[in-house]
Amino acid sequence: MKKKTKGNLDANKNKIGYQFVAHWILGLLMFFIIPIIDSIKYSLTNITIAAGELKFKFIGIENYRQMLLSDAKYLDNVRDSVSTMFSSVPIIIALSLILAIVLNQKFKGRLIARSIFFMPVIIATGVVMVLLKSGYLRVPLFNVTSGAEYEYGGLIDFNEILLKLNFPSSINGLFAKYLSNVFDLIWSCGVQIILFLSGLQSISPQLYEVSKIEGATKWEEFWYVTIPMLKDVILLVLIYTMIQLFTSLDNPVVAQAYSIMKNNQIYDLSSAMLWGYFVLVMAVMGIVLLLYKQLCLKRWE
Amino acid sequence: MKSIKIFNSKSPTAKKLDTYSANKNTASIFLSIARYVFLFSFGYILLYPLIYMIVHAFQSADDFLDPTVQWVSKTYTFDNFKLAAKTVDLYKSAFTSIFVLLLSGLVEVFSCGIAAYGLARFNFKGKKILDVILILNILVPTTVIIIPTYINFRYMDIAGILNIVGTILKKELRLNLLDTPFVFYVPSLLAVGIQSGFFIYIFKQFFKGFPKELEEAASIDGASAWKTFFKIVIPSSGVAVLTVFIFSVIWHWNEYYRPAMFYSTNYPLAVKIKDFFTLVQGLGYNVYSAEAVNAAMAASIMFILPVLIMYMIMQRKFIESISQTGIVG
Amino acid sequence: MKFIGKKIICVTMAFAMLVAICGCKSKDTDEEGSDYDVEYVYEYVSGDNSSSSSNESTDSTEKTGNSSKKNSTTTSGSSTNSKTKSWEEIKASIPSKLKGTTITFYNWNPSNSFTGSSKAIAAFTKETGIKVNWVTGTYDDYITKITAMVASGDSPDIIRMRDTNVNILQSLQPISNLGYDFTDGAWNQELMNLYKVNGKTYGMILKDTPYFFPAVMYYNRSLISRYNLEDPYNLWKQGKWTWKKMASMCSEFVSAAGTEYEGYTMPDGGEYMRCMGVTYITYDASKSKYVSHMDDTRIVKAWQFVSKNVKEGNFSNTVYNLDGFDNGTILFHANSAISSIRAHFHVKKLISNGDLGTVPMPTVDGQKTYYQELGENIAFGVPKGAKNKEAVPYFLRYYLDCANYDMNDFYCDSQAKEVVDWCRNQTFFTNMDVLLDKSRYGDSVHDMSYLLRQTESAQIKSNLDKYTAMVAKCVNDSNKSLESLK
Repeated sequence: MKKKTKGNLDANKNKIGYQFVAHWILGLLMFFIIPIIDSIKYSLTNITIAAGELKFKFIGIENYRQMLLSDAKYLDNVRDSVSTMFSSVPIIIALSLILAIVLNQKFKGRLIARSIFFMPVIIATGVVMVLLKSGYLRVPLFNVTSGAEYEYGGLIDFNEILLKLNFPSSINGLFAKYLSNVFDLIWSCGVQIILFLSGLQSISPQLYEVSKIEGATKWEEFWYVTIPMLKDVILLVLIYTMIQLFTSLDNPVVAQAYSIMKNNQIYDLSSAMLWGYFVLVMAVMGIVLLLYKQLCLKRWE
Repeated sequence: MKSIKIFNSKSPTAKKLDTYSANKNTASIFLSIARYVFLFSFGYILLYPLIYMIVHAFQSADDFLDPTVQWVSKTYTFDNFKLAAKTVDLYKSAFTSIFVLLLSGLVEVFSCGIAAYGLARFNFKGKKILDVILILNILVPTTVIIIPTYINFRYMDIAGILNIVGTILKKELRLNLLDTPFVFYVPSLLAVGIQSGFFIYIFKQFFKGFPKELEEAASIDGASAWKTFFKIVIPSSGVAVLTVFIFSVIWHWNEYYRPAMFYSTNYPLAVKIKDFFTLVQGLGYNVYSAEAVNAAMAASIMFILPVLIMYMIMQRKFIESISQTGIVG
Repeated sequence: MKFIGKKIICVTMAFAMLVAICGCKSKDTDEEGSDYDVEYVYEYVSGDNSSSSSNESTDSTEKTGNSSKKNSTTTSGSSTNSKTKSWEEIKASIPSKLKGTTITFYNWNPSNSFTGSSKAIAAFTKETGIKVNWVTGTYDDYITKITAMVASGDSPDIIRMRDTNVNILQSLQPISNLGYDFTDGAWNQELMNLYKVNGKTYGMILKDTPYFFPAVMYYNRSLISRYNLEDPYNLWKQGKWTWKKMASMCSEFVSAAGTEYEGYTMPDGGEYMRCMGVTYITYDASKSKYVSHMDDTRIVKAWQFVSKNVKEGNFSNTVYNLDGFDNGTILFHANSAISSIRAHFHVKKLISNGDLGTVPMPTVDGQKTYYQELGENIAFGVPKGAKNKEAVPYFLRYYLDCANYDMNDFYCDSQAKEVVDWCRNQTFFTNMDVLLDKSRYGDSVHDMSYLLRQTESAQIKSNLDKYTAMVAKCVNDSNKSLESLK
C-alpha cells in the first residue's frame, strides 16, 4: 500500500479515508474512549457512591499498591493465570491443529463432524454454559463444587486411578490440577479449529503433489509443507487463544476482579486490578509474539 | 487404491508394488478406523452436554428421580418446554432478541465493513493511532467499563453541547438512551457495538488481500471511492460478509451483560436464560428439583436451536469463506 | 537434533490427546456459585389469591443461628401491641402531599410472579392514592444496577436487601432520613438494629410479616409412624427436642429401615454451630464491625458433632437432597420455612400426602436460648437520592403486614404456621458468612463445610485453622468498606 506520493492526488485520496472511518471515530469517542479514560480514573481514586454522582478522591497508585502488596490472592491468581496460559496455549493449538487436519480429510460424514466440532462456539460462548455449570444440574464432565456439591468425575476419574496406583499425593495433586483443565481445553478449541481448517484449505494441493514427487514422507510433509504454510494462521490462533484465556471468566484474576466489582461494588480496586492485569497481558503477549516471530517464522521461511 | 499392473505380476518389482498397494489398503483402513475413533472420542466430549440437554428436555420429572433411568426415559413429555417458555417469557424475550439485538448485529456487519475499508485502503494521518485503538477495542472487555458506559448512556451528549445549552436553559437536555433500543442501535451504527473490533479486524484483513486492480480500474473510469466500494468491493466480499454475519448472529444472540444493564424494559432471551434458576424459583420450584432442571434443559435447547440450525445450513459456505477472507491465507 | 525435538513435541501432543479422550474432571471456579450462596426472595405463582408473599428460598447455607451475645439485641422481641398504631391511624397521618405520587420498587422478579402481592399493592393505592411502580431487574446484576442507578441519579425508592452487608449498604441512606416514626410497635426494632452501622439504621423489617422464613426442621410423618419413632412435634412441646435426641432418632431409623434410607440430609452441616449462636463471621451492630469467630471453640464442637454423625451414618453426606427427602427415603431435612408454603413445589409429594412435619431446629443440649440466624432478603432499604423516600415507610407498613394477606391457606398446615409464629419471637443474630467470596478469598463456605463434614474429630481444629487467615482478611476488608459509611 505504499505508494510514492505524487503530489496532491494521493494526499486527497487518502483524505477520503476519513469519510469511511468518520462514523467509527465518532463511535469510539462517544462509547469507548471516554469510558476507558473514566475507568483508568477510577483505578486512581477512591470512590464513594452518592446520590446522582460518584465521588472521587484522588489517591494515585494506592489501589495498585494495595492490590500488589496487601491483597491476599491477587498475585497468586496472576501467577496461576500466566502459568495456565503457558501450559494451555500450546495444547490448544496442537489439539486444534490435529483436529483440523483430521476434519480436513475426505471421509464420510465429515460435514456432520465439522458441525459437531463447531458446537463449542455455539454453546460455550453463551449463556447455556452458565446453566450447565451452575451446580444444580448433575452433569458429569462439569465438575462443580458449589450448590449441592454433586461432585462427579469425568468419563474416567483420574483422581481415583492415580490413587489406586499409589502415587504420592503431591504428584497426584499436580496431575489432577493439570488434567482437570483438559476438559475446558477441549471446549475452548472451537474457533481455533475453524481457523485451522480454513488455513489448511487455503494451502494449494500442488505443494503436496510436489512434495510427494520429491519423496517426502507424511511426517516430513507435515513439518516442511503444512506448518510453514500455516505460519500466519498459527499466529492468529496464538493471539486469539491468548486473548480468550485472558478474558474468560474462568481466569482467576478476572473472576476476582469481577467479584469485587459485582458483589462488593468496589470499583476503584477492581479497575486497578483489571488494568494492571491488562498491562501484564500486553507484555506477555508481546513477548510471546516476538519469540514466535524470531524462532518460528525465521525457521519456516 | 488400485495397484497399477504394469509389469508381469511375478517380477520382483511387481511384487513390491503389490505389497505396497496392499499395505496401502490396510494402512488406509487402519487410518480410517483411527480417524473415526479419534473423532468419536472428542466428539463424545463435545456432544455429551448436548445429548444430556436433549434427553432431559423431554424427560418427565418422575424419570429424573428414578435412579434406574439413565439415558432412556420411560415417559416423554413436553411439559418442560411449557414451563421453560413460561419462565423465560418466550415470545417477549425472543422479540427483543430478534428485533433489537439481531437487528443491531446486522447493522454492525455493514458499519464495521465500511470502517474497515477505510483502515485497509487509505493511509491518512492518525491511522496508526486508530490501528492501536482497534487492538484496544478487541482486548478490553465490557465489564471493565460498565459503570462509565452506563452513565454515558444515561447522559448522552454530543460534544458537550447539550450539557452547556442545558445548564443555560436550566433543563436536562442530554439524552437518556437507557431502556431504549438505541442503546444497541447507535453503537452498532457507529461500529462500536458488541465485538465490533473483531469484525473490523476480519474485514480489514480481507480488504487488504483484495486485488487492487479492480479498484484501480474503477477509479480510472472515474468512480469515486464510495462508488468503488459499493459497486465493486462489496459484491465480491460475500465471504467476509458471511463470516462476520454468522459470528455477529451468534454473539448477539448470546449477549446478556449489556442488555441486563442497559435495556431492562424487556430482556432478551439470553438474559432470561442466564437468570433461569432464579426465575423458575419465582414460580415456586426448588432449584434442585426435577422440574427446574428439566425445564432449564428445555430452555437451553430452545435457545441454541435457531443458532444451531442457521449454522448447519451455512456451514459449508462458512468454512470455505473463512479461508477466503484472507485472515488465514 | 531438530528431529528429536519434533518427536518430543509429537509425543507430547499424543499424550495430550490421550488425556483429552478421557475427558477428566474440569475444575471450575464456579463464579455463579457465589451468587446462589445467598437466599433470594421470590414469590410463587398460585392460581388462588389467598396469599401474596415473597418467599425466601434458602440454599444450603440457610440455617438457624444464634444471636450474638455481644449484640445490643438480647432477648427476643415479643409482639407488644401496646404501642402499635393501627393502620387507620397510620393512614390518617400520611402527609397530603404524598397523595398521587409514585414509589419505584426495584425487584429481581417480575410482578406477575407475585400473585397477591399485586393485590396488596392495589389495595394500598386505593387506600392512600400513592401509586407503586414495580421495576424488575436480574438477580445477578441487582446490586450493580442499583449502584449504576444511584450514581446516575435514577435511584429507585425501595430495594430488597439482597445482601445485608456492606456490599449494598453503601448505596443506601439511613432510614432516619425518611421522616417517619419507626418506634411504632409494628416495626421489629430488634432486627432493624442488626442493620445499624455507625448508629444509623439502614433496613426496615416489620414484626408480623409473611416475608419471614426461619430455618426449620422438616420430618417425614409417614416414616415416623411406620417405624414407631417419637413425634418431634411432641418432643418439641415437651422441651425434649434436642440435637442429641435427633441424632439418636436418626441412628434408630437407619438401623431399622435399612441401607436405602438415610437419617438426615443437611443444608451444609453448619446449622449446628448456628444453633449455638455462632458462625464464622457475624456482625456486631453495637460496634459496627464484622467479627471473625474462628477461634471460638463452639465451632469446633459443632463440627465434631456433625462429622461424628456423618461418620456413623446417622447423617447423610449428600447435602440438600430435597428430592430424596420428598421421595420418602430420608427422615429429616433442615431448610427454610419457605418449603412449607402450600403452593410451592419443593416437597410437593410430602405436602400433598400431609406427611410434611415441621418443627423448629433442635436445641443444643444444655442450652436454654433458641438462636436463629437473620436471613437475608428480609429487610428493605432506601437508596441514596430516592425521589419519593417519604412515602416508602407508609407503603411498607401496609405491604409487609400479615393482616393484608390471607394467611390461612398460606402454609401447608397449621403446625407449620405455629412453628413459624413461634420462631418470630426467638433470638436472632446475623450470619455474614456470605462475605467469604470464593473468587476473592480462595474458598467458600461450601468448601469449608465440605471439608469439615468429613474430617475426623481430632483434626477438625487443625482443618479449621487453615481458614483462619482467610476469614480474618475478609473481615478486615469488609470493615474497611464499612468505614466509608460514616
